[in-house]
Amino acid sequence: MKLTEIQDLIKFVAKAGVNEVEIEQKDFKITIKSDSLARKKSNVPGETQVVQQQIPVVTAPMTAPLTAAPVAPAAVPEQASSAAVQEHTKVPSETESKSDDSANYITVKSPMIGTFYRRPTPDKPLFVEVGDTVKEGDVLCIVEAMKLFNEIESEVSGRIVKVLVDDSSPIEYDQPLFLVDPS
Amino acid sequence: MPINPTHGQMTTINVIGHNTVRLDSVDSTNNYAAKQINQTFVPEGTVILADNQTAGKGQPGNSWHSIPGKNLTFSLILRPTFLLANDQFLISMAVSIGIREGIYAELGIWIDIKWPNDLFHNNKKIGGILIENQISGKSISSSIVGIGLNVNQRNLPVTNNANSLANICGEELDLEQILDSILSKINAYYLQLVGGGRMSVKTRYLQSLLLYKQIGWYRKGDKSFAGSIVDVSDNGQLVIKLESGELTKFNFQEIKFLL
Repeated sequence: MKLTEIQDLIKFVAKAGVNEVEIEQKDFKITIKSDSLARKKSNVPGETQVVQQQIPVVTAPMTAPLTAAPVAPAAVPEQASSAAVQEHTKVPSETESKSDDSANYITVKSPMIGTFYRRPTPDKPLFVEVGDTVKEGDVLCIVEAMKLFNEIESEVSGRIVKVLVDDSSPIEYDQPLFLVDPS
Repeated sequence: MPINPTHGQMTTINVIGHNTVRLDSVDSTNNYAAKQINQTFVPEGTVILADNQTAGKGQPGNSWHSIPGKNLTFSLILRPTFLLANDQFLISMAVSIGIREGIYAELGIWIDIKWPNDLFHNNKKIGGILIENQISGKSISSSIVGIGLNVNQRNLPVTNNANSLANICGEELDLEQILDSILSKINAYYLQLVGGGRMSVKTRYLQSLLLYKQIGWYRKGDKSFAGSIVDVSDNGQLVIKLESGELTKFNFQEIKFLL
């Protein structure tokens, strides 16, 4: 199963609100557990929930015993980081309905393979920083691919919640780059 | 020239070069084009032409030494909204083969395209292309294609391993005629892309590549190796068949040609 398929699966499980899903194919088995108890608790006003408890637990036991290491760290960020960032950025007094807010964050993904740049040229300021407000059409970053320089425009108006990739890093197609709070 | 605009997806475009903006001097024609399209409606196919670029863009460290009025420095404004962002390398291919065939049609000289889009003749650089796209979602909303071509400049910095078309031909050349010839060929290949003729553009691009299906020497990091270019992937990566027979893909910054 591909990483993106696992990510989609986690998203699907999280949305469906079920506690546990197990899928078994010929040489591959994946179990996704969602801690719904923790999710409920987090809605209690004034109580801050530890981030990790909201992240669906993923284990992928392979047929070979030595490869039983959980794939969760690689697979989780796209879906779970919205919840995680939410926890870190909100102060405890604002915890009401946080689960709903986090679900509304928009992930800006790379439309191509290339190199991620946060500045137009090395001597210029960053296009955007965390906390900045952007509007539709504003340039968020440049992705350079085989000597073509691509300005990636925001499709939404909102606030930059998190930058998910370091400046000048190689990136893959569909890799999450920014989290934007459109509210 | 096989143009088949009735086949596949069709969008309305203006002919490249139909609308031309001429400037005496500008920092860079690409910058000028970017400002224009952000401020006002500019028809697709508009050409921004400058006698003198004070800060022409090139790869970092490769400054472009152009004497005013001697060379061709211009930008095209395209709106290839029919292409996905991930297919953007097709623009690079269509433009580079357009330049190559435009030069041949006017001067009878075949230049080579050094992957991804440098213009070479006898292992000396005579020009380059710098493309800046604006991406909205998964599509390309606009594309600014900057082209620099050494035409009538006879003295070129030896260290740059550069040459000019006038040096190759041994005579002063007509800038306007070369420009017209290049624009008409780029236009033809761009229309092929619009009409869905991607494979024929790619085939022609591969056939125009320096060292295509020939053994060449390359360097990655501190390792040199021999291999032969056999393909370019859809997203523009160079595919080299190593001596072992193994196929390896390279990104632009990863590999250096040892010419």
